[in-house]
Amino acid sequence: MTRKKILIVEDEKNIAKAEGIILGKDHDIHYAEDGEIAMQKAEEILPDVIILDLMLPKRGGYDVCFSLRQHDQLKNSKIIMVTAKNQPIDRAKGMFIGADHYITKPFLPEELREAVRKVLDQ
Amino acid sequence: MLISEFLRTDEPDLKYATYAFALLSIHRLISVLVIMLKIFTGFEFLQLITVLPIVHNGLETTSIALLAFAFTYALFNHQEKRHNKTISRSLIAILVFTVIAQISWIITLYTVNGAFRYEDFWANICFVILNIIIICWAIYVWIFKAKRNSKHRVTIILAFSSYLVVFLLQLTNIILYNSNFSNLQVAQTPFPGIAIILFARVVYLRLVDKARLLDRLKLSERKIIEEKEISKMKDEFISVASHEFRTPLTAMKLHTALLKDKEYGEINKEQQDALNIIDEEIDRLTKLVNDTLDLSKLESKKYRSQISHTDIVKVIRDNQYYLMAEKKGIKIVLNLPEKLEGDIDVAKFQQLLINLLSNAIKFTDAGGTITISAKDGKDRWSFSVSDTGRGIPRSKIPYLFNKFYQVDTHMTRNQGGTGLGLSIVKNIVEIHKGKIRIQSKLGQGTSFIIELPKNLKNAKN
Repeated sequence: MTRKKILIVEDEKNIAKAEGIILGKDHDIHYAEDGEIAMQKAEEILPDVIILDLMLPKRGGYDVCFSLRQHDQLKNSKIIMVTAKNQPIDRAKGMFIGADHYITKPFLPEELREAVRKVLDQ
Repeated sequence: MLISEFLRTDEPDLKYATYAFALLSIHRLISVLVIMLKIFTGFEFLQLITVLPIVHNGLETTSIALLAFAFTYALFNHQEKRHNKTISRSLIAILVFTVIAQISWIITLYTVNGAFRYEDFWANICFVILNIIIICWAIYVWIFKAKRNSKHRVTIILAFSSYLVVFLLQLTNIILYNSNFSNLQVAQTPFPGIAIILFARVVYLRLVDKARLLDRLKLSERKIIEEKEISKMKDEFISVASHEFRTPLTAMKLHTALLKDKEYGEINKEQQDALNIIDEEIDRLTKLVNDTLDLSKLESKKYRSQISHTDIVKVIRDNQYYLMAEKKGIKIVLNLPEKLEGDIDVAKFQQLLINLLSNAIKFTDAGGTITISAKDGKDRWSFSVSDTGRGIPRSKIPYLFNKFYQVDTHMTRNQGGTGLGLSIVKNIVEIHKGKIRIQSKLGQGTSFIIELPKNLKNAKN
């Protein structure tokens, strides 16, 4: 599998670090700690996959997801939503707003790797 | 008092009562003034005699009629329009009669020679009889048409009766004594006063009641606002807690896993064991957080259950938790009818089943059996989860549904129990408007039996 560009959007440093270690072996990782920086970096590096936490300062995750989907060059990036909410309705909301996949906290490293594999195969 | 209330109210009967009292007062006032003038100045207001029909009888009968209508108004609640017509017609009739009497009286005064007493005038007698008829009607309505326990019933009947005495005495005087028996005239005196006091009491009590009701209304409105605030805060807490609790748990879980996967370098067996313990505890805390938040959500009144008409047999069969029983060596027996459909919230029902199964598995040893049966009924259906485990002591059964209650804390904690499972079960049964009961015998086993209505869509709030 070729190395892809992954943007991790997560304001919790410890979780972002863990996610980076989990995916870092196989891919190139970039970080953004809030919604605004996320949009900036996304436009800069044009990632293949975006790991998007929903609870973000400055711009909420749903907002960022929506903007990414409107963006010309970024609409083909895969978005994996990460959230603490696990009700079916939250999952449906996520998919509706344009996410490609949805994982709930807490999750295992393997779950994250599996999610990335899945969206890259789509 | 009435005037001040009158200016504020739009209730017709209070308005009539105010008019009645006003007219009666004017009536009395005029009589008193005339008498006082005569006593203190010797002046007899002779011109007054010409307008006696209006001033004496007309005023009085109109006020009696208004009193009667005011204090029977409430009994005609359902026929308001027709009753209002009756009232206006009666008042007009009295007015017309008064005018006729007045004209007749003036004619009499001009044509009759010598002194002619007003007491002998035909209209005077008619007015007295009319007053009697009106009051008798009012009393009749209150005795026969009002419910036994209507408010103020006795007071109002007494008030009207008091006034009735006045006119009966007048009539007796006229018929038997040709209006000469002055004792009968004096005897009348206290009764109008008594009647008015009784009527006034009724009005006063009504106004007091009204004020109390308004107070109570304001109080309950305030309470509702407070409760809404609390509910809102609780919902916000649940939403925030959801994120706040799970975030550190996520971080801990991820780094523990990375450590175990040797992403942070080699680890020896002891370190591996320690990491396993940490992992287990993280899972336990996660489950506790999930259960607590679930319970909070269920208990908050805003929880909207997703109830749909479902194939219940399929839902029971599809449950994944049976594997856990088989892992422990416990046999699962499904005793289900061929077809059973009803209104349930599928996700919650699965959760209920898992919680009951989890308990059954915990308290049953390998080799035991867990039986899940369901029975169809006309409007309700029932199902039960029974095990052949160690059973529950009778004394502990009433507390089972309490939050965090565990029959054997040592054992359940070790197996990851939170003590919330049955609280959640009870809540889910309540969302479905059902009933749950427990049967258990020490050493033999336990059964949880649940009855649910089949049709919930109509009963849903």
